[in-house]
Amino acid sequence: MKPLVKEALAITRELGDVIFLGAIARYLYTKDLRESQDLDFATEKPILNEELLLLNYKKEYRNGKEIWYTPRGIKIDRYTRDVSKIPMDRIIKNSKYIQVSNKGEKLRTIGLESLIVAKHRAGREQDSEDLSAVAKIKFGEINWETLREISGDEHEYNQIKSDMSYLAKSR
Amino acid sequence: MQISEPFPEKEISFAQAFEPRTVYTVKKDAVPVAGSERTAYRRLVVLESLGLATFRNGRFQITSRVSRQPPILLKKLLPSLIALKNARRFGRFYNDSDIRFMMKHAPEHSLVTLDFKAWDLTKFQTPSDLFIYVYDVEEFATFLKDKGFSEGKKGHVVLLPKTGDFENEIERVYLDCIARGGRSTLDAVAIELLHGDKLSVRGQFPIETVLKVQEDMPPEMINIEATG
Repeated sequence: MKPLVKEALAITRELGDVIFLGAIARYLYTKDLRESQDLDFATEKPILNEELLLLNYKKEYRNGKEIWYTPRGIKIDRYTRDVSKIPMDRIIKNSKYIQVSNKGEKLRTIGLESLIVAKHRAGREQDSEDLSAVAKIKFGEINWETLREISGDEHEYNQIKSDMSYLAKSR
Repeated sequence: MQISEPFPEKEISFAQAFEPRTVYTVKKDAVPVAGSERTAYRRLVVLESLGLATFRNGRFQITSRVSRQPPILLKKLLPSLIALKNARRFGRFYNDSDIRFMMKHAPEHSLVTLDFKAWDLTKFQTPSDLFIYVYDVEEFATFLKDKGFSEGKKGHVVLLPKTGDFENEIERVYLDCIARGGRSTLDAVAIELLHGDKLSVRGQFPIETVLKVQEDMPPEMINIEATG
């Protein structure tokens, strides 16, 4: 099992049913991952800093920004309001559980359609690469009606559909 | 395209004209920049030969934001771009055992670059594919095939033709990371942050990318940077 998946399971045990985002979500859908030492997740309810400290999570400041680490030294980013302007209630509704071990252990992750909308909106170089990987492997599983609802914008929806279709067939 | 050919300035300017987006259309996006559909396709053909663009059915992708780099760096990137364009990918069991085999049998004077070398230098992102420069790609490809490897798109062993300058190994890895783009751009930023004193040229990266790498860098690597 990938170290970051083990870490995500440990976080789930400690903090409850969090929804994983970012690179680990890409991994859960494509099984292809270059791990950086950080995990992004959304929570239905905010987790207080005091709770994290009680669980031996650690706080540091870098570039004047508060950064949190798990007890095992992995950086975490918590999202509580929205993910790339997708409201949290939609992230929660579209989330899904993916089995990550033969023992039946599961991780809750951002839904495929939310992941695509979020990455398309972020538009960074690594997001295009992630979208390309997702398109090649998961294009046939995308629920376009759900994606349309999550986007909430017909122009953006058409753009994403057309881009994903292109990426799915790219070399 | 060979390294000796003139630097494709017009094509690079063309690629630089587009705002970052996933996919573009030739008619709506490229023609206004190039002046005509024919010129647009001519530019795209050259960019594709460098691995900087793909196009199909009137749509295209600028596959890497390499074109946004300063001209002095772009010239240094050409050998990396050409090597990546001519990369050949191999797999046997399609897992880590392929990598271990390759590490054990790497030919003399070969050089590991990208994922694995960037991991050695930065500990920022775990490696996935083993990119390795070899003098004679054909000869080593034959060796791999004899050992049961197949050539295709999914293997984790990638052979690159050894062309260009390798005197400054860290700089070459840095340039390769920029040339490859995507997540390798994050490796390039990490190399610059940790080994900037070894580089004679510097890339230009979006500030949010630099901040992300700084924030996500393992604390022990930041300490190395601070102490030494």
